[in-house]
Amino acid sequence: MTRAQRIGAFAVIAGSVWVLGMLGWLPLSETVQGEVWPALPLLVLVLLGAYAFINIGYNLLVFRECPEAYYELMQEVQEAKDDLRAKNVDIA
Amino acid sequence: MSRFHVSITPEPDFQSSTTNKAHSQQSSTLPLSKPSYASGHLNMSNSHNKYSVLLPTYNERDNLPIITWLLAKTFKEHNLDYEIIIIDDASPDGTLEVAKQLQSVYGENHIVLRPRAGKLGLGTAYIHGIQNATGNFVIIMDADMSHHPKAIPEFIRKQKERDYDIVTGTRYVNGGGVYGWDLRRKLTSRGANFIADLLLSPGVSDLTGSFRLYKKDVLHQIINATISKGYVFQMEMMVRAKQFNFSVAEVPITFVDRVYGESKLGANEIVGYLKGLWTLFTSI
Repeated sequence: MTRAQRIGAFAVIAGSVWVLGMLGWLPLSETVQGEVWPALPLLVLVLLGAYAFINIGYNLLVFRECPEAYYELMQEVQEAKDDLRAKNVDIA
Repeated sequence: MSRFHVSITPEPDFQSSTTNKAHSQQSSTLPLSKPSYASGHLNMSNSHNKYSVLLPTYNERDNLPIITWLLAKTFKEHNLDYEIIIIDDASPDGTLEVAKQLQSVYGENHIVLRPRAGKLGLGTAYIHGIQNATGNFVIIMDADMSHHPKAIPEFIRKQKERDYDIVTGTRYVNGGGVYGWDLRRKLTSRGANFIADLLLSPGVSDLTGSFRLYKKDVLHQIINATISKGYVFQMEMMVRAKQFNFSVAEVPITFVDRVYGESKLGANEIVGYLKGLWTLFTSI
């Protein structure tokens, strides 16, 4: 089974359970049946969105810049060019 | 991400000739010695490891001499046996000519030229390179200097810790980083990794990176199983590695965006990435 099929199957099962609950075929209390259950799909969407936002946002915040690597490289590039020119390699 | 894998043309169906070699046979020869950290050098004198660097190039005339110089310097400093295999896809800018000059500087045992007649794609370039590699380890990196050879001794050290099959560089953990990216580029990169992680959960923090060390037979097996092209190619290789239960370790790397030439990331690349991701999601 591919990953898409596995995740799809899980979504179908979860969706069916939700529909059963909405139809009143599950032993749910009155508050759950009337107020919690109908909002579940929306809740899942909101949670997923929040997870994406927090995950990407956090990782963006801790994304490190490495200017020192750039300056080190530039220095080495110069060194390499000088050395290679002395060895008759065509350097721009 | 180098320009090289941005515009990859369709390539021949190379995975049809799959030869699944058992990868276990060669790992027994690798010593599990603990490297000495004190000197900062790897003590390799008692081992027979050889590292083959695959450098697929297309119009890298400016970058190739410098990356070669840096590689040679790193390997020499750490007393490592190496070869650099340059796979040039008939670059019109004279990359091959400069490669020949490098060969006369560093010797034919260290610089191996395996040019091809045209732009045939990254996957087949690696296949072509491996077939010519004499090392028991293969290092894959971009030739545009966004990947710095200074990380290679770290890769090797890490590999020896637990005889890992693959060591992959990551820009996203402590000690890693990027230079030359604006916020949009960072956001795209982060978003791309997030979606891939969510859909494929490959267990690697930097999926789209392409600076990696492989055992040669492991790379061969993975590449034969990989079907994607372009951006998704590197990602699929990691997903396949997980599928085959290869052990993967990560090492932080710094990534300096192309100094010569520009790196390209437009709407086309993003759409291509998403399509490739979807294909992987529905086929793995």
